[in-house]
Amino acid sequence: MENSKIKSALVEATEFPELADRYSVSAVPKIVIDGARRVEFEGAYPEPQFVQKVMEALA
Amino acid sequence: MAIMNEATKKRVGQVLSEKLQHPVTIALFTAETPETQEYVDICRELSQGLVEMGNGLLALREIDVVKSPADAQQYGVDKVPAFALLNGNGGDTHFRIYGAPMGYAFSVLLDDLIDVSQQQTRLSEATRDQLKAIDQDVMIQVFSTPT
Repeated sequence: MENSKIKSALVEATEFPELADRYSVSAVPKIVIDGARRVEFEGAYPEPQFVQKVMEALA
Repeated sequence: MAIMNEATKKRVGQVLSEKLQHPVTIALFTAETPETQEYVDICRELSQGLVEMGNGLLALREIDVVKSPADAQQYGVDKVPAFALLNGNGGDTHFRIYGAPMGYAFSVLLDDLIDVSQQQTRLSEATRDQLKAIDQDVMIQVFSTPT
């Protein structure tokens, strides 16, 4: 909602096992951020740290 | 089997009654295939239940991705079941839920319905400023399991 360039999705890994395999999901929550680069991490990060990860995915 | 028990329905109804302000359309993407039928039925029942509790502010638009591929493509939906939330102007909020939102994911759906209806997120001002400044396409996927 804050920026139309940012898209997000919550994916139920058990219903989409092929996606879970593609992104090597072995523990949840697993977050995959695709921008200029891919950033991945597991666990529920506090908001500032989550945003930092988004920034790391930018060019 | 009821997707929501009576106690949950009562709580959800109360929350929606207190928090919804502007109209939201729940776009539910479906396909009638044996592999997806069970989850699609759950999502349909859940969506209809939410609309019933939405005091006229929630609407449901179901899009069959096989029968209406152009609509599915417009919203970038390539797997079902899927949810998209559209604001009062029919605008896409660019958030999707793929799969039946049971457990924790249901609270995510509820929170996002409220945010879209209130036309604001719960993010801090600092975060909103950082996000607004982003000028590149970013896709954030959160993988979860029903808990």
